[in-house]
Amino acid sequence: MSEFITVQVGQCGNQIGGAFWPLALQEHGIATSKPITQQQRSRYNDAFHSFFWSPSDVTGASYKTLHDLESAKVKARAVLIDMEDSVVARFRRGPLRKLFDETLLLTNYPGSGNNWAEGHHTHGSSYESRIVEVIRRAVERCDHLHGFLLMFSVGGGTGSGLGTATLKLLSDYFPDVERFVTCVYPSGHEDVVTAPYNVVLATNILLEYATCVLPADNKSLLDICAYLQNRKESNESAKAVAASSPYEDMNSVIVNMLLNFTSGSRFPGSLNVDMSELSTNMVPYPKLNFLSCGLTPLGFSSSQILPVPKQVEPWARDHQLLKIDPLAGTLLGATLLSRGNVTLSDLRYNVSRLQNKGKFIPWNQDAIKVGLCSVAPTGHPAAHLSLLNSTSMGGFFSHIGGQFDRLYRRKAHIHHYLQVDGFSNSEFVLSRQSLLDCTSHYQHLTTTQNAVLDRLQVV
Amino acid sequence: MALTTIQFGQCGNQVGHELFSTLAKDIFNPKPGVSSYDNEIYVEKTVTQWFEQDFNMDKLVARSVLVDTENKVVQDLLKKQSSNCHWGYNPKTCALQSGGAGNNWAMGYQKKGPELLESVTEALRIQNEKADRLAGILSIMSSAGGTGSGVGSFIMENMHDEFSKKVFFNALVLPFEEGEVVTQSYNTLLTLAKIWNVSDGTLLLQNDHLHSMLVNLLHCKSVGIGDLNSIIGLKMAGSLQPLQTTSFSSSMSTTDIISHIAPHPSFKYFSVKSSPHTPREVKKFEGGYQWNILSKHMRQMLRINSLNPGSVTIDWELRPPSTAQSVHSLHQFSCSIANLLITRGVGFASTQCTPGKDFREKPLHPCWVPEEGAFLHCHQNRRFNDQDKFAFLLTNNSQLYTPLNTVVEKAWKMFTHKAYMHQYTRFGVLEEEFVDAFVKIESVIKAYKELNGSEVTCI
Repeated sequence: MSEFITVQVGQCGNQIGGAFWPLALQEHGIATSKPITQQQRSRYNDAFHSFFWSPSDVTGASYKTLHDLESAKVKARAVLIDMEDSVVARFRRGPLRKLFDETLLLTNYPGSGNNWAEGHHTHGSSYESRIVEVIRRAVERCDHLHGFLLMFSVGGGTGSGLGTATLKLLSDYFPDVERFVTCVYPSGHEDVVTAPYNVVLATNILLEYATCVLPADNKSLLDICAYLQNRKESNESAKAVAASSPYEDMNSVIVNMLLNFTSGSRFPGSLNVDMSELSTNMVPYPKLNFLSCGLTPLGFSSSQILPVPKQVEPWARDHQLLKIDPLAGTLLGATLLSRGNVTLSDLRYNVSRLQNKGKFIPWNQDAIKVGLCSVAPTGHPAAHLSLLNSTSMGGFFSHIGGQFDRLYRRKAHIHHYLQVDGFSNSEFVLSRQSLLDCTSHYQHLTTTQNAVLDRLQVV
Repeated sequence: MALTTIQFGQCGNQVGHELFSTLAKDIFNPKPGVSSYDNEIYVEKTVTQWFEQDFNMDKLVARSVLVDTENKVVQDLLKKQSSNCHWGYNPKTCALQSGGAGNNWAMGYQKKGPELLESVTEALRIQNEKADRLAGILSIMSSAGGTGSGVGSFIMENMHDEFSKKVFFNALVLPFEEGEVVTQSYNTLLTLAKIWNVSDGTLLLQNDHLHSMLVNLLHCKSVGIGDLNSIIGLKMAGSLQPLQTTSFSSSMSTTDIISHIAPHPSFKYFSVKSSPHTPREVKKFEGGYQWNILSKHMRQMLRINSLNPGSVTIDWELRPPSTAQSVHSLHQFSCSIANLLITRGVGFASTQCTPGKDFREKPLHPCWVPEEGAFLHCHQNRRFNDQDKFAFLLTNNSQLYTPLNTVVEKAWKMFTHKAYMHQYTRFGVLEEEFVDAFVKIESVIKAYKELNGSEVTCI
């Protein structure tokens, strides 16, 4: 079975990780808080090794509680990096504390002061050898490493700066292993003034070094949570859930996406999708690697089981984790991953619906990759995930570029960046330029006509 | 004579498994409809061709090599067979890896293929040494993904020299036209081009067509991958199971069949039409069709639109045979290099049916094809697939260019925009290789296309 290493960087990244591990355990029938019914217990224990590592060679079948995991010394395949101690410290105290290997934690006190340059250059260079060492230790425990799942936000300093520095290191040291990045974009109303700088500087690195980027933004996540909350309130049975904190809910939306995303590699199915296939299918040209992801159902693992209709629309605007409308642009590629109780006919039906709705690039009218995984997510009979490579992403890039310009025009705050060793003003210029190039490439693709060259003639 | 099968990739392994299950079911047919002496001969021939007898376990072991870059599917098959008492695979003849070939022909051909070569050669040696007399090698693969197409092409090329004296043929499953994998046209194109040089005959199977057969004939409401595979298994078993010498037909071995159906180096493709397919619930009540109706029906399947020879007005394989059809001499038929009608079932000798007369009509074949080469009829009295009468038509005709044409059309569109090229050049498959593949397949298409009309233009 394939294995993944999660790399959680910074406060946000580690919070996503905090939501990730309980849900990942739940997929294998191990409860972290409330007891799990026998029926929910997963039977797919070969897949246990995808996210977890155990020193003794026992299959996951024997693990039923956290205590079992502790006594078997099972560890998560997770690398935790933060320049502030607070979030990682919470892991150290939390119920899952035994799940994380102390030697795979990397923390420090100073923080990065919401400064990308400090995270990327200062911490990036001084921690380089330690990061490589920690990751190598995690890699050595894998037999079939498929990919790294990186999680961080791009608005702050540590996640954005050090996260992208880690990404670079991964591509240097492990060029053959896929690098998937889930990053959270700020919605523009946060208290971080320098966010636009951090966003653009980080995005430039992501374009260059990530296999695929699965972006999310806070605005979309909040909207999704609000929608779920409304639905719950109308439903009297689910009062208890309302008590959970908003960030946790937002993170679990991302986590559900990640679990669906990797399900095809981890579990058996009649149409398997390995992670290595994704970039082949979704990235027609280098640097066009940002994918808009949408989920159906949006809900997290609540006790309430909703019937999943045959007709699903994970590609709809309000199901996207990023505030863009992918179908408004030209689609360069699409992936539809279904898991659970879904037949091939249902899938083909949805494929043809997407084909009617979306405007595909003329030279590849049927650029749809499909996957069927037979294991349903916890608490739902089925789930669908759509990944779309849409030219609408160009609009998103010009939006974050515009926010960057507003600050940069007045040269506001740039002295904080320039005083960092190793950072020069040209990085601002180059990053902005790379975004502009990307936008114009998307623009160019929107207007492409069909092939002008005739097919080869046999004489 | 023994036949060694190599199953490549997810599709190849699933189809192969289905094929062997069909064969095992055929061997243990409780109602063969022939004398026990004849039945014994049939079973013995089947077993020598496909299986090796394991007397210790009292089980049949498939003469098959299982190749995959992701071990999930094969592990699943091996697990499944422990509950199966009639036949199984030899776990020693599996060549497996983990990680998949990323839906990328180049990755399969340049990276995974060479990595797997040694273990495949070894597995093939084990399998071949067990056979007293080896007739040939059959490879089963799909062309859409990376493993079947890339690894399959690489291994077949490397095996070809070693087995140049044996029949070397393959079954190739073409993807849904609406798209399963975004790069499927590239992968299919490159596979077709590589295999063309080394294969003695290629059976083309179109997923789209099989899907419509299931929907139209078998009234499947929801079609699973397994249903598609079982039709493929049925068609392959029906064409390759033992035949017998009767007063009106002669027996043919698998080697004979391939050399009959692919007699010309420019025309190596063939497809298998089959009839009747009836839903299980209907089967109980229906008495079945007359042989001459079935024979006429099989000929109908060669009909094409007389105004536009490139298309088919009605796909007769998607209709049940009917008594009411009038075969008018004005109907145009697609021009065939060779046809082979295989009838399986009871009571053919007592009917007045002479399929040879219909099928040998001049306009059905180019003028350079000798009469005895154009059409052959083979028969087996034993009941097949629990049906009294079953007919298969192996045909190598001008219609076969249409699926190839679609593939080249799509691949060319993408190629002229250089889309996805970086994924292939990354593994060292350069533009020249694509151009070579285009040239090769365009000329094959041209040859097939020009068949229609060649029955007239004879000097």
